[in-house]
Amino acid sequence: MESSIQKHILFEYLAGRATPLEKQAVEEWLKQEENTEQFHRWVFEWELQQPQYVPDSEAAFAALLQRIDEQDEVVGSSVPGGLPMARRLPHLNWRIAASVTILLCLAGWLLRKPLLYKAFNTDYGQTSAFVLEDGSHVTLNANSTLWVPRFGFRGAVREVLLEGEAEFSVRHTRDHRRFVVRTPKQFQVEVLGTEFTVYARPRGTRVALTKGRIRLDYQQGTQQKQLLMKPGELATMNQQGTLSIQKTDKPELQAAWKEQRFVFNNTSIQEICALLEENFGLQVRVDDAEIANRTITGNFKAQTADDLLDVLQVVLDLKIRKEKNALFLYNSDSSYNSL
Amino acid sequence: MVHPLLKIASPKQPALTPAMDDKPQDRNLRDGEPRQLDAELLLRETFAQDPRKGLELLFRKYHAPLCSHAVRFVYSRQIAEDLVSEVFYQFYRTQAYQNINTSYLSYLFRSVRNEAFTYLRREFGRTAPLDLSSENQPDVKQQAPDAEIQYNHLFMKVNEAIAQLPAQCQRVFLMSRFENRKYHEIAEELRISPKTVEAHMAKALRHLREVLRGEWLLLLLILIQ
Repeated sequence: MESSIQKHILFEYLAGRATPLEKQAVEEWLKQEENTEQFHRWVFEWELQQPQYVPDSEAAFAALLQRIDEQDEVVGSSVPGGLPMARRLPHLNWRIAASVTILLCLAGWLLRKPLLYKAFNTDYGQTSAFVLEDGSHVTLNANSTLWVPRFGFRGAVREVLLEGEAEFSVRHTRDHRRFVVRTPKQFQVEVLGTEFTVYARPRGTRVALTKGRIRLDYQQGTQQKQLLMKPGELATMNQQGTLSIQKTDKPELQAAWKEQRFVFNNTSIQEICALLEENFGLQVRVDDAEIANRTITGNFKAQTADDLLDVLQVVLDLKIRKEKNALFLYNSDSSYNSL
Repeated sequence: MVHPLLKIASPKQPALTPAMDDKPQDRNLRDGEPRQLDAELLLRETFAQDPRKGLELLFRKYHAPLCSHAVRFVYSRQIAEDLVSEVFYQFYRTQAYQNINTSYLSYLFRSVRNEAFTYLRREFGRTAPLDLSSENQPDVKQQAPDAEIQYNHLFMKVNEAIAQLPAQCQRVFLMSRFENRKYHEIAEELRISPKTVEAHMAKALRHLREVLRGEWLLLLLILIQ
């Protein structure tokens, strides 16, 4: 009986085109357990030949690995002697299991942060460079904080938390441990060994990649999304949570602040004001929309906020007026002069 | 035909004994098929040395065909991929790779077909009167031999049901379900009102439910433990 079934008949059967006789023969054949292996092999072949669609296997695999790692973390942090969550509740829908995992991680993480993490801070107008215990280099820009595990990196993931802006040069470990930069928003950067800059401030989040390959995990609406970045790309997430990718010729310019340089490329005055506030804690206001939208292109060295303001004054022919805690920029020939 | 319940009486599907193991291989040689058990030798060795690496190889080889197969049941790429990932996850977490007595391929296809079935029953089978008794999903190893045939019937039925839908209704259904797009996006693209989209969806789902209703009774008889 079984020898009467041939591959093309099975394919016809699967496609719903078999004659009633063929159908009967196939099903008789299928009832014999020893044919199951062969049947699955042919289904596999059929799916290779007639794929219904092509899934993004790369992203799916990355998500699977992440899930496995998160599971490891929960198992690691559960009560000693207790069974891992998932083993006690084998029939639990995995979505629930996943959200519980995330909630547990979040709760544990919130409570234990000051205990388990050491913070590196920079003040306004200050940058600082240091080497992590795994040999990775970090340069922190002004007004930024980097949280690093107090007792060293453990487990399969090297994880740090960034608020502000920093450049990373990640050392690849022999056992391929992943390096993950989390940011306060649902946004994280994951790497093996590479150089890149992360900007994570209330104004938005930005990642520029110089070398290697990184993956961004972020949330859009309620969906978890991922994106693989190639060198020379700049990913920007605005306040609304929309992510966009641009090509940059010089990703290393994103870290020009390391040398107290500011690189502007059609940068509006408004953006520079935001920059002054982030890096130097200066409130700078421009009431004139025409000024706010003017742009600057160039490469300026500035140690302090005053250096940068001098540049603006000269290049744009503006005047600066101090008022309480804020500075005002205005046209030198405008009526403000008479006030 | 042997009554399905009689078959279920045996507690466990007999493991493939070495003698039975040889059989499909012999046939393979005759048909000039790739010898799957041998083809998986590398996978087995990798799993023995480094399970994570093994998982990666396994995933790259079978993920796409498994998704393509699952989508024939659930008609949603999102759900299909979730089901397939879940199978891989459980395969890894429970270390099933250490003690399966079929090929990886067979194990994965069987599990995905089973998951897809369970999913469809949850989504479209709620109204079936016998459903209460079978909330626990049948263990993959304990399924009756007829199960594979019933799975085939199920995905063919789903296919037929969707093919029967009127053109516009089918289009809306595929955009919403397969591509996972929002109602208002579909409405915009097809230049119809969101209300119409909703009506099409309701119609398609009702139709699917009706077509599948008969299937569940058959399947449940076979799969109740």
